[in-house]
Amino acid sequence: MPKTILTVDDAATMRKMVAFTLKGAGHEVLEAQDGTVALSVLQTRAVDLVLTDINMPNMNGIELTRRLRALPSFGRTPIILLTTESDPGKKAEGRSAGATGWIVKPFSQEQLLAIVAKLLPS
Amino acid sequence: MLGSLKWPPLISGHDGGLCPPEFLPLFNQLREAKFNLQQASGGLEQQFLATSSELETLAGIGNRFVQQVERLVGLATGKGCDGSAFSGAIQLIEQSTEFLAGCQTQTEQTLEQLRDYSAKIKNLLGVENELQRAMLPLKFVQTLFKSECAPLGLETQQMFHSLTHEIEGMHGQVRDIFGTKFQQLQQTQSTLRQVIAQLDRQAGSLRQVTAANKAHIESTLATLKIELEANQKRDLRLSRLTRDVAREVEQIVMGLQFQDIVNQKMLHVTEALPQIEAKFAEFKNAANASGAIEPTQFLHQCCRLNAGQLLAAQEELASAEKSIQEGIQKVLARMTEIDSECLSLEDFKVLTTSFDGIVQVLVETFEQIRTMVDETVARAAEAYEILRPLGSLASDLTAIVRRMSAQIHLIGLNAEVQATRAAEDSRGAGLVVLSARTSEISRETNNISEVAAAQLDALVAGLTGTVKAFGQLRADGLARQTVLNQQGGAEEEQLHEFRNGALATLREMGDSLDAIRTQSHRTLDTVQFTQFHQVTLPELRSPLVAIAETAERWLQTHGCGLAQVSLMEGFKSNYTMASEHAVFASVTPSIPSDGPPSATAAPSPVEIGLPGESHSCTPEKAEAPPVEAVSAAAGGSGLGANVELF
Repeated sequence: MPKTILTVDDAATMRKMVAFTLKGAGHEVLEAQDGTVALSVLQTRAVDLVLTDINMPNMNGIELTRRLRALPSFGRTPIILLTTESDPGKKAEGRSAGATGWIVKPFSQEQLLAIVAKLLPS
Repeated sequence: MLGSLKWPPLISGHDGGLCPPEFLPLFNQLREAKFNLQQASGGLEQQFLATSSELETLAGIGNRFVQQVERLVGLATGKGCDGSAFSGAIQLIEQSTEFLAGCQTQTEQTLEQLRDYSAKIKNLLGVENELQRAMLPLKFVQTLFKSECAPLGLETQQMFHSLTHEIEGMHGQVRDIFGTKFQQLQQTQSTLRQVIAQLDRQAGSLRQVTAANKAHIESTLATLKIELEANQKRDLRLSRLTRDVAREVEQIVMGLQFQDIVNQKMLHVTEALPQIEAKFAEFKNAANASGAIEPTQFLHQCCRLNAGQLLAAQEELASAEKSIQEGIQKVLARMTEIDSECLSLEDFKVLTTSFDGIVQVLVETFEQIRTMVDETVARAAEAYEILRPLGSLASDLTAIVRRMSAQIHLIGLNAEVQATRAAEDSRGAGLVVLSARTSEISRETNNISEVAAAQLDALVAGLTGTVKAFGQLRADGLARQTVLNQQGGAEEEQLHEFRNGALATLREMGDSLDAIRTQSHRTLDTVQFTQFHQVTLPELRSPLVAIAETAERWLQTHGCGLAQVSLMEGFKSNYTMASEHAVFASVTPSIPSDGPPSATAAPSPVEIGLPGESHSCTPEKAEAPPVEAVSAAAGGSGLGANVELF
């Protein structure tokens, strides 16, 4: 069953790439270039999953996670940090902010789809 | 984006006596390279974006091609026709053939009945002779009555005249029946013979055509089945090749992630450059050698570290470029392979022609069946129209014969009464004899009439059933005609659509193949990161390497140690990528890296040489997803080592 997924990344190439993969699997993909835009998108659209980069201008992915978890409607929405970071400290920070998981770039298409399938069983 | 800067002013001033003479130009070179890097970064990002757009288009065409091939393979292997296109048509033809076979049986049974009726009519026509023969003596009896009555009284004469008159009237009736009604019966029998002959021919033709059609359809379906089976084998190859194209494109798209990785490294290098410049200022302004040691050690380590970062980025970028280009080349190679599979495509064309053939056969069969049903309906209607008045005629005849029979019976009775009276009066023995004879003829005629009436009764009953059967056959035929016109029309339309769809898919596939080839070349044209990884990055790395070497020489000249890695702690904490940790660990080997091994870098010591030298810190293959690389992240999610679900 198709899901709605928000991808947040300041790199347009990354957003396009993630969107390409997820759309290919039949999902609807929304895009935002940073945390602030993502929050604004989420005010008008309900999503099933958020995939966010960490390092972004205006509002980073960890802050976005924290803000979303503070909203009652996002208590159970999976949030995956999609990042080049592999620092354990950052990971711990993401976890305590309420992230559901962590994917280090580069990842494969199969991995991304497997994660989506695992988190959003149809 | 790394931001943009104005052209930097050159560093100038005295060397303070401690500064090696080559330092100033190196730092100026570094500033210039930094500026160029900042300028080039935006271009690189745009280029990646353009590549991703082109790849997206390529993937779209690739997916379309896969769908087209799947559609055609579906048609060629029968997946598209078993359940829909052919089965409905075949079912309708089979049902109609069965209907016609039923008509044939019914027609043959009716033929038997009609032959029987014909025989019965022939028998009835024979009644004429019998009646004529039986009634012939009445003429003489009438004449004799006249001569025998002459000597008798008026009353007796009148009685026998009256009897004679009745006999004459009956004669007239018999003439009328034989002259008109039996002639009609005779004509009907002749028409019936023609109907029988027509129905006979039709039954034979129906039998022949049904058998021929059935055989033709069976043979065509058998041929189709063989072709479909052969195609299933061919299509496996084509499907595999086509899927490979789509997979290749997907892998290429994933290679675009390196833009993000390279971008982050560039960001860290850019952040380090002001610190290098600041330390250089410290070095220049140091009052003495001892005050210059720490800045020099920092310059040595920091330049090595960032040169390592740049080398890793340079090679990652080169590798990404190579991977994307190779991927597209693979796509083009697959295209060539698909081209070489043209035999299969040719086969598809042949098969499509055979689809065309079977569609034609089915359509023609529909037409034949329609014609046969039309003929059946027409014959049934004709027979119905002929037989319906025949029944009525037979009924009329029965009534007439019965009436005639009753009259003859009455004449016979009357004759007996008159004869008895004449005998009682002893007025003529001749009249007694004549009356007895009249009565005898009357009984005989009556018997013949009763037999004929009974035969006519049977004929009427049979004809009523037959007429009803023909009426039903005509109604069934009309219903079948409606089905053939409506359902058959829809089936024909579907068959035509099916054939046109197959031909259109073939054309679309050809277009897609051309489009993939064109788009692959277009994409290749956008994947040009060479300037960045062969010029821009080496230009920045070169002064860093030279500064590190100069700093090292200075430290050696002044008898100082090189390792002051604690100066790099700030960088270490800033490095968040696994590949950066690897670079850090390689450049500062005395401090173990607390990060995971690099996703894209080998753990061996980083070399900071110039282009063309061996660079062991960069990945062998950028496109290979480092699933196993990030060991620290291997959280047992079963999704790969770089994935962890909390």
